[in-house]
Amino acid sequence: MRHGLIAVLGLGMLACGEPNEAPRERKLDIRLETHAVLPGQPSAAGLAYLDQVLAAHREADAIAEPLARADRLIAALELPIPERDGAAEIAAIGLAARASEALLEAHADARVIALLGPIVPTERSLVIDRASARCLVALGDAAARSGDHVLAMGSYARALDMLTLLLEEEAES
Amino acid sequence: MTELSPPSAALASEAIARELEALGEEPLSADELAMLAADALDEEPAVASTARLIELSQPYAAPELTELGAERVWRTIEGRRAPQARALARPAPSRRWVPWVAVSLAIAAALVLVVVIPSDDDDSGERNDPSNEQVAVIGDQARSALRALDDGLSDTARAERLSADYQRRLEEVH
Repeated sequence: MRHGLIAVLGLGMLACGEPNEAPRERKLDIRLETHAVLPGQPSAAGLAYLDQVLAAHREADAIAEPLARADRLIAALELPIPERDGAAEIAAIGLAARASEALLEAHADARVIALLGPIVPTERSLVIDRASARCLVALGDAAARSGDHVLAMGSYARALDMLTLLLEEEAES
Repeated sequence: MTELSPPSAALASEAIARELEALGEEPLSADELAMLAADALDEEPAVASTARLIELSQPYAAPELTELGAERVWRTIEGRRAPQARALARPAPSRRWVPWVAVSLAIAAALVLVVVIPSDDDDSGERNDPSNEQVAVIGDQARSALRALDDGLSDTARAERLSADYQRRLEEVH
């Protein structure tokens, strides 16, 4: 199914406009570059990063107000991510997913788009993980509520493509 | 098989009682004591199988067991295991959603094609924005599929697992 989807969607592959461009002047962009997570060599720096991410999640659990919760998670997103470390990459995209969902809960749609724009652009390869799909769905939700139907449709389509990949992985395991 | 004489049966039951007590098991029941006295326990299928397995695990201690005999015992044991193995091999209930998600994704993919293809054929080069309805439908599909792939873990639990696995890997390296 996915190969057929990609083949046909490739026909509709168009350049993405600038983030501040008016929605009607942009065209649908549903490119999805992906890569599987590579565990890499574990390091003390990697473990320290994961522990900081874990601390951020635990602190966020205790914050009821969604904007404040998002801010705590976004602060952790600013930590430098150890390079060539798959676990750290998974942890980071998980932070972004939860932060964007908290922003959505607070109806801070513009902040969701500003946060996720640089994290899940079509030009960037995304790690094959459910958190990546969560980010794409959150971006689609924020765009839909903002009236940017082109961005919403593109994000949802990319999310479905990512979820198809995850399904294939599930079926093979 | 001859029945145990009363003194032998008493000695055997006392020895078994001591072993059961040492293992913290329930003492012999009246029925079991009666079977022991009649020397009928060895003919119980489960007891016979267990005795044979013990013999097979000690091949040099059971020189009277022929190769054919051993084969028959193992076939019997395997036959008893099969139903249980088949039950264990059934797909786990948690995977029942997979076909549903596949269908859901197929529908959503079709919807994307409906939106994209006419736009490609548009000579004006301009695209029509997707409608509210189209966005709502594909958004519902995406969220449904996302929920279907939820492993039930919270973000914190997932981060805990990630950190614990990583720490274990790091310790293995050093």
